[in-house]
Amino acid sequence: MGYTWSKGADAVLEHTAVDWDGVWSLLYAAGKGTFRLSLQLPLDVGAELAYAGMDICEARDEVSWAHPEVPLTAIAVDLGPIGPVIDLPATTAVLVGLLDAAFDRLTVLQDADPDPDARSLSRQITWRVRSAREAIQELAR
Amino acid sequence: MIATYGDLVGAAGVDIHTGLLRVMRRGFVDHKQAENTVGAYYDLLAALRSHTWWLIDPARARGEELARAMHRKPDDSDLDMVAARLFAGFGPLAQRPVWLPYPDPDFDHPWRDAADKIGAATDLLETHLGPHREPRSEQAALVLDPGQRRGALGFIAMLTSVTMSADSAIGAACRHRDIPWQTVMKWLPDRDATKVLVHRMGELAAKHGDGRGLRDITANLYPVREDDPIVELGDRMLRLRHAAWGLAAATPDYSVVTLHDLAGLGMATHLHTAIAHGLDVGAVAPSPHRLVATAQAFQELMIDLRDYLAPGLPDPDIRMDILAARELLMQIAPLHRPARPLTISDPTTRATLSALHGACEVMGQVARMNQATFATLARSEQIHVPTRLLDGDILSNDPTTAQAKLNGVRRVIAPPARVQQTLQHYEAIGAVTGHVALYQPAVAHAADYEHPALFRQAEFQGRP
Repeated sequence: MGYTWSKGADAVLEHTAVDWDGVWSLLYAAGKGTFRLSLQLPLDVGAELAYAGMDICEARDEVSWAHPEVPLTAIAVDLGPIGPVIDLPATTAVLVGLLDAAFDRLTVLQDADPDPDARSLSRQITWRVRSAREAIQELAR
Repeated sequence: MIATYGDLVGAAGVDIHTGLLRVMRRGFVDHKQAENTVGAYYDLLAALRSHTWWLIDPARARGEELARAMHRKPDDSDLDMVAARLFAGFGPLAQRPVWLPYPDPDFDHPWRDAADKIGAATDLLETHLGPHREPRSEQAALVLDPGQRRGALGFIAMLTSVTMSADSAIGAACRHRDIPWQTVMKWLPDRDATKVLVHRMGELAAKHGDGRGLRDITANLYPVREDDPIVELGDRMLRLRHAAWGLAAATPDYSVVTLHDLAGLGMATHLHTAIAHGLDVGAVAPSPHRLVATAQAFQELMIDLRDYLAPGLPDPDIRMDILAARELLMQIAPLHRPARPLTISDPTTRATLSALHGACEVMGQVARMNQATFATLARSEQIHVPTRLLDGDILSNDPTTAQAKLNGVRRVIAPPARVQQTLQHYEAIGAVTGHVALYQPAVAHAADYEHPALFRQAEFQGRP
């Protein structure tokens, strides 16, 4: 149900800091949620969501390969199952909200980091997250 | 067009016929040409002999021959023995007696092309095996299967028979150029007994299937032709299948992400094929259509594989092929807009659908190989699961893992119950794609061949 999802998402948004841990937590929650949603929807929408979920998870993997300690310390929140009736616009809005928050943190991290390698990493992640976000937003329309 | 084994031996057959017709129609202009043609004839027989000896097992045939030597009665019911005796009847072919000529290096005749093509066919089969006959590709099991090899001998027996029947044509052509009869008799002695053996060899080989098993085998090389999307899709799928076979080796690369990527491609392939057929993919599961059901099974598997943590990075080559294949699928059968109406019956539609179905078949085979890979990974105790993702039945049946979770351990070796869930997803895919097995050896031969990474249920019990 969208209601519990938005509550869970609010908790994630509230408790994540502006650092790589925060980005990882947000991507984790968004990726898990996307996969869960994709399994409950018919295949035409579900496959698109699964692709978006793959993109999000790849971005998350990039974070954990660059910062191996992050997956061990960051908060991992699963938004949980959705009810039998799915309000697609509301649920996708929750996912897009999570990805937007990840964007904000990535932008700050990109500006703050003087290291060119780290900057290119965050650029790459931003690119992946953006494509996933666009795909999800497209579905809600 | 990538040449297959069947293409090569078929083309060799065409050349043998062409050469025979050339001798019959044009004859020889002089003594030199007659010598050269007889040389080419023996070269062709030598090529056929070495190909046959590669297909049968000469060591075994020789051993049995020695064992039977005391009985004096030659055995006509064993294909290997018949083939060995047949070519032994020709005497030395590669290093010939002085009276048998060799062709000049610049002599041009279809029989020389045929000999080259038969040699190339041997090389093509050889690419699938290592120096000690160990498998080098997913088709090696087929190449090594004795039944298939003997079946392939049927066509070779036919080629040999046509070649041997050319001796009367050569003899007649020699008479026209006044070549002495003694010379002709030395070049082409009476071979009636050998002709009987060729006939017998064809009969025996026909019992081993129709020889189609080896027909479609290509060289163990995977080039990608990028000009036509349909062709490129096929090439990339074959390359992925070979890569997946490599992953199923005894030492996998410890990457679950690659398996996840391949499962994602499996979903994409089946989904796009379903859409190309105009199936309704929007229906709520379970769908009555096999393609949609398979796509859903792949989707569940893909999401299930996401939970594992493994030390291996994704294989960049495989990922590149997967991304390219997904692009091509989007191009051939787009999800949202109708591409080319596939209801038109024309060659393009046919090619498109056959490429898509071929891709689906390959993904079914890849899933089976990936199941072996995953089982090997699970046995290696190298794949972990975060404890926060474990709950319910898995924990209640596994006190060690439950204790670890209570103690705040963040990741544990994937417990058997969790691994079993994933294997069930693979089995579900295996059930819906069961008709596309790459190669199922006959029951009699199954004991000879065991894949090194084959998942053995009995051995797996009780180990994560």
